[in-house]
Amino acid sequence: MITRAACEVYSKAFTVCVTAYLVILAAERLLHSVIPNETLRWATAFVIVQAVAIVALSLHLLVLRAYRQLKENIYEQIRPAIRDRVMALAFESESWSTGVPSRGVSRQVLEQSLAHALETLKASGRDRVARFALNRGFVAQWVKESSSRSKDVRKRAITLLGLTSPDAGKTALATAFHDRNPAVRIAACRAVLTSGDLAGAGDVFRLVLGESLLMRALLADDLKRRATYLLVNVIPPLLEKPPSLETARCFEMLIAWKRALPSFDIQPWLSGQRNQFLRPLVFGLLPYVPVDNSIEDRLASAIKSGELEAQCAAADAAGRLKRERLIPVLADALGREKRLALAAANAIAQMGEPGERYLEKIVVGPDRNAAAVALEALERVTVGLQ
Amino acid sequence: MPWLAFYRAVEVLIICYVALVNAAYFIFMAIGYFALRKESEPFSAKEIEVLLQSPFVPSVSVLAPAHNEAATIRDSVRSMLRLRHPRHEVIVINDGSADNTLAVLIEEFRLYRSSRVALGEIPTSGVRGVYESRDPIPLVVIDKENGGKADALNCGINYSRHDLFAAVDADSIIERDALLQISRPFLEHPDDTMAVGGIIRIVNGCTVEHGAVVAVNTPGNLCAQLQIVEYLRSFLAGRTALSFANTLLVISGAFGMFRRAVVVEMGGYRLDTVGEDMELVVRIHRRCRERRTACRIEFISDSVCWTEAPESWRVLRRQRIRWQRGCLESILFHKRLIGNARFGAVGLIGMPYFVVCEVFGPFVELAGYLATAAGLLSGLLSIPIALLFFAVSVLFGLVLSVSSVLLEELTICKYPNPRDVLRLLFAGLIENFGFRQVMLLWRVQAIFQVLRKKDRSWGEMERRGFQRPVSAEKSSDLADENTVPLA
Repeated sequence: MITRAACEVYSKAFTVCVTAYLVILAAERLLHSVIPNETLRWATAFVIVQAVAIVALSLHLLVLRAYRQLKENIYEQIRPAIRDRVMALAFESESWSTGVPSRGVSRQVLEQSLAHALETLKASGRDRVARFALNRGFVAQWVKESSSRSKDVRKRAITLLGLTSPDAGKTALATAFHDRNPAVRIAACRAVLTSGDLAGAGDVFRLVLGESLLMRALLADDLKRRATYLLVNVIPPLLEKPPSLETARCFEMLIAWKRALPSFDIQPWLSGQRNQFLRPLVFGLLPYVPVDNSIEDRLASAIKSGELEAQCAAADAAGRLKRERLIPVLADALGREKRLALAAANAIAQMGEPGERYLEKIVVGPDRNAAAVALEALERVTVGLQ
Repeated sequence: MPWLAFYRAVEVLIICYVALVNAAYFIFMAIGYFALRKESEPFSAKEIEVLLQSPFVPSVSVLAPAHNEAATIRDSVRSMLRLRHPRHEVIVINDGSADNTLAVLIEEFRLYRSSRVALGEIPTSGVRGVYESRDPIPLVVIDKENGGKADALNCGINYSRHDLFAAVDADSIIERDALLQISRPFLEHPDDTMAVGGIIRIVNGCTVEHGAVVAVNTPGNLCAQLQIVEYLRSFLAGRTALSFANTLLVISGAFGMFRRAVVVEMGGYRLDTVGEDMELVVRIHRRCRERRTACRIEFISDSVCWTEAPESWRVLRRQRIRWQRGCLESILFHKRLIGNARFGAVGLIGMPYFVVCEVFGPFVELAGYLATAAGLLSGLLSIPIALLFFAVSVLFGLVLSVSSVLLEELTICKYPNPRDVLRLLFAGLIENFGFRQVMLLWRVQAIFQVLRKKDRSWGEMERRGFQRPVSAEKSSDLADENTVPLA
C-alpha cells in the first residue's frame, strides 16, 4: 500500500535524482562548443559534476559539523544562567526583572529551559513557570506551532500546552487528537489526561481502542489513573456493544491495569459462540473479578476444548485462582500439545502442596511427555523461580 | 576490425551496466535520506520508562549461539542480561565448544542442570544438557553438539518460550535500549510485522567498559575505517531504502528480531547455507506472499548492535567471501521469485536488484576494470571511453561514499569528535581506489566457489574480550554477521 509518507519520500528522492540528471545534462550542453567528441563530452560532464558534488558534499559535511559545534558552544555559555533564573522563578518566586528575548539563541535556550522545568517540576513550582509562559507569550507561540508542518514541532508544542495551559490550547489539542502523525496524537492524549478533564479521559480511552498497540502501551498507565471514572462511565457502554476488536482491546486494557472490577459480571462472556475470540482475554480477567465455584465448570470445559489459546488461558487462570478441584482436568492436559501441557503443569504447581504431590506422581508415571513438563514445573517451585 | 568493434561495444555495455548499478545505489541513498528523516524518533527516556512497565510489550528470547567463546562469554552474557526490556530471557547455545565456554558460564552464573522442556520440534543435533541459574536471572544455557550457527539458533528457538526471538552474536554488544527500540514495529503493526533488523556499527576504536560502549571513536586501522564507510552506506542508505519499500531481504545475523511462531512453522533456519539469515528473510517474504498475508520486514536505525570488524585483510577476505556466498545461495534457493510479479515488490524490485547489483554486478565491474586497463595499455581503447568508465565507476563510487558519511552526520551523528568525521571522510575518498576493487575480486571468487560447490566451513575464531578499548593490531576472525553490504 502506498502511504502518504511513502509518496512524499519517493517524490523527493525522484526530484533529487532528476535534478542530478539535469545538472549532468546541462554540463554536457555547456561543453558542446568546447568538446566536439560526444563520448569525451559526456565523460567530462560526468567528471566535472561528480567532482563538484564530492567537494560540495565534503564541504557541507565539514561546515555542518563546525556549525553544530559553534551552536553548542554558544548554548553552553548562556544556558546555565537562563536555567538558574527559571529555577529561581519556580522555587523562590523571583520575578523575571528583564525583558524576554523575542527571537534568537537566547529565546531558544529560554524556551528549552521552560520546557525542561515544566516536564520535571511539580505543584506550585510548575504552576509559576506555567504562568510565566502564559504571560510572556510562549503559550500563544505554542498554539501557533501546534499547526506547524513539522511533526516534531507540533508534538513539542502540544506536549508543552498540555503541561502549561490545556484551556488556552483547547482547540489546538482537539485538532491534535486527529493529527496524521501518531506521536502527535499521543502527545495530545497525554496532555488531556494530565489536565484532569474526566470527559476528556473518556474521549482518550475511546480513541486509543482504535489505535495501535504502541499507543495503548504508552497511554495505559496514564489512563489507569482515571480508571475509577472509566470503569463506571465509559467502559460499560462499550461492553454493551456487539463483541468486536474494540471489546478485545478493552479487555486487554483492563488486564493491563490489574485493577479489581467489583461489579463486573463475567458469566455472559464465558458462553456463546460469538464470544469465542474473546475467551482467552476473559480468562485473563478472572483474577480481578468476583467469581463463584461455578467458574470451575467453565474453566474445565475450556481446558478440554480444542482452542489452544483459550485452553492455555483457562489453565493459567485455574492456577492463579488456585482451584484445586481442577487438578485432575489439568493433569489430563499434560499429555497434549506442549504449550498447553506446560501451562497446565505450571498451574498445578501454583496450587501448593496438593499440586506438588500430584506432579510428583506424574513424574514417575508412564507418560514420559507428561513427566517431563511435570518435572520442569516442580523444579521451578523448588528452585523458587515460579 | 569486427572484434575491435565488438570489444568497444562490450566496453560500452559494461559502462552502462556499472552506471545503472551505481545509479541504483544513488537512488537508494536519496530514498534512505528522506526515509530516515521521516522515520519515527527513537523512544524517549520517558517512553522507555513507561514501556519497561508495560504488559503490552511482547516478550523476547535473546538467542546467542556460542562456539569457543570462553574469553568473552562472561561480558557478553552480562551485557545481554542488562538489556532493558520488560520481559526477556537470554538463551545461550553452546554449540559444541572445544574450550571451557560452558564451564565459565556454569561458574559465573551459578547454573544448575535443569529440566526445561523444549516447546519446539525443529530437528537439531543432540542436546547434552540444559542449564538455568540458581539466581533470579532469566538465563538459559543449552549445551549441544556442534552443528553450526543455524543449528544452534534452531535449538534456541525450540527452547524459547516467548512470542519473539532476537538472534544475536555472542561477541557483539547490543545497546541497552536496543531490544526495546527494535520491538517498535511489532508494537506499531503487531499483526503484520514478521521480522525487524537493527543497525550494525563497528566497535573498533570505541571505548568499551563493562560490556557497554561508552565513547564512540573511529579506529586507527585503515581497513576498519573503510569498513565503517561501507557499513554506513549499506545500512543507512541501502537497508533504509529497501525497508521503506518493504523489500528488505537481509537482516543481520548479529542482531535481528523475528516472530517465533512464523519461523517455527517454516522449519527454522536452513542448515545448508552460510547465508541462513538472508535465506530466512527471503523465505518469510515468500511464505507471506504465497499465502497472500500481510508481511512487514523492517530495518530500525535506532536499534544499535556494535560488532568488531576485521583489521586484517586475510580475515576480511574470508568474511566477505562468506557473505557473498550466503547471498548467492539464498538467491539460488529462491530463484523462482526473481521477476515474478506474484511476489510483489520483492519479486519485481528486491530480488532483481540483488541479482543485477550483488551477483552480476561484481563480475561486470571487475571485467570493466580489467578491460579498461588492457584496452588502455594496448591502445585499443580510447581515452574518452576510459574516462567515462572512470567517471561512472570510481567517481560515482566516491560520490556515494562521501554521501554515506554525510548521511550519517545529517541523521544519526554518532561520532562526536570532528577528527573522526575527517577520518571517515578521508576513508570515503580513498575507498574507491583499491578497497572497493579488492572487494569485487573476493566477491567474484565467492561466486565461483558457490558454482563449484566448495566447502562451506567457517574456520576457527579467536576472541580478545571487550574490557579494553578495541583497537588490536591482530584482528580476530569473526562470528556470523550476514550484513551483506550493498555497495
